[in-house]
Amino acid sequence: MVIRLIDVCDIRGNTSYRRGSVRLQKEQLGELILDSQEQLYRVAKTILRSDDDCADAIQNCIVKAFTKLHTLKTDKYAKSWLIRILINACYDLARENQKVIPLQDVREVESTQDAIRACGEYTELYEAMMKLSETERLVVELYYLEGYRIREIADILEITENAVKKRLFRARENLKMQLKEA
Amino acid sequence: MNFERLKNEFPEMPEFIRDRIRSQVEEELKKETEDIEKRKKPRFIKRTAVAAAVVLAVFGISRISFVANAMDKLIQYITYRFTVTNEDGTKTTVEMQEDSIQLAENVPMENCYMDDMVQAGEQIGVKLLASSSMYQYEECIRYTPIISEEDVLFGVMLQDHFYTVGDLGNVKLYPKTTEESIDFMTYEAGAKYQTPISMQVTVWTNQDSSAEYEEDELGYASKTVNVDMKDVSSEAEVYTIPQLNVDAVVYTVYTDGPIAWGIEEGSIRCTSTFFVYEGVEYIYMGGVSHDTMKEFLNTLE
Repeated sequence: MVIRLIDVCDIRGNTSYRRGSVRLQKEQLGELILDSQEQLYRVAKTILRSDDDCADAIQNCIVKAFTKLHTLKTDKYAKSWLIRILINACYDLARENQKVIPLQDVREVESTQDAIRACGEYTELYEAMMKLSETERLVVELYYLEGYRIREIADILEITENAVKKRLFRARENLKMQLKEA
Repeated sequence: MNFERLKNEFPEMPEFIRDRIRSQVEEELKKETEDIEKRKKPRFIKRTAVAAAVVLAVFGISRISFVANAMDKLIQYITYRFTVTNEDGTKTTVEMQEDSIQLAENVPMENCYMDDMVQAGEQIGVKLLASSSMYQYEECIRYTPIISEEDVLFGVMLQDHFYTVGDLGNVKLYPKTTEESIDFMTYEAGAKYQTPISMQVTVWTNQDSSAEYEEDELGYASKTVNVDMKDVSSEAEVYTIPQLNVDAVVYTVYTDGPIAWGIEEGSIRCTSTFFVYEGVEYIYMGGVSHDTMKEFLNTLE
């Protein structure tokens, strides 16, 4: 079965699969990742609490992005595409983590939240945002912090524009409520 | 609510994450450089290494390095002896002998592409099997000469990842645009085909058969590779291709296939088949059942 071996030698790692006229090359993808690392971290941190998990998810995202570069139609959407890969990587990791939750981790999460509350480094708004559901938090992050438009967020999350608007609305309402309570 | 200030309140990215991002990007870019370097070099394959590769690849190892064997001489022929355990516990043994075949004098010594198996056969001077169900387009078959470091031609390999597409729906081909790129295809799974069937045909040449063998190499001149399919696949069978009157080993493998198939969801169940016809090695693999693979084999002539 020499076929697998030839595939691996000749095809894996081949950088210039082209479907359209404008395509991102590996070097450009590398630059894009390095330029967007803060943003990647913020998105990962919105979904995953632990920095170790964020690092794993970002690393998985980088590997996948390089492997799947040929699936990117035009470089215009490269950043959104990268964010989508990252979000999927975060969810994959979160799902994996959900399978086994050692007691120690539960304690760590609790203590992290206690620490956030105790240290007072963050404003009420940040704390309120962290209390939103994951889906609401993500649209807030992408819309207000990263500056994506509703349509772009819909593309990234693969949901309708209306769904994005609804989530944003709900998130704002929840935030208002929480801040009022605080 | 002033969301702008939130950005400043987000925890700062820890330095270890920054380091990991940088090193992972560097690693990915390095991989590319290594691959390009590999592509620049002529393919160097020892026949004995290929024999090992066949066995190892059958065992499901996806990446095999060709290790130069101490023996430099080309062997005259190689025999694969497959043992298949039947449902009733009996065993069937199939022997397939690949011969060294005289290729045409003007056989291409560089990688190139061909349009179909008839053209490929004419160019290398060997009659090759072709299927009436072939998915044909310009330059669909990749031709790779197998050349030693001393520029000796050991054989040629022909590959097509979309050799037949069966009942796949919405098939859309994105042809390569540069020498370094590959064809890519999008499609929807059909009732019988989950992926295209890929093809790989290898022809070994006898041009070095006059080489003198040292005494300890003589045994290798008629190398036999034993493969017990029980160790390879939970489902393996021997199928006699009626129109060719040749036995093929048909077996189940779990793989994500060549990247040209574009499978993203991990390994899928595929059927692979291996047989030798008139001394030439044929391998087909696709996301199909054994029966569908047999139907496809019946179209070869």
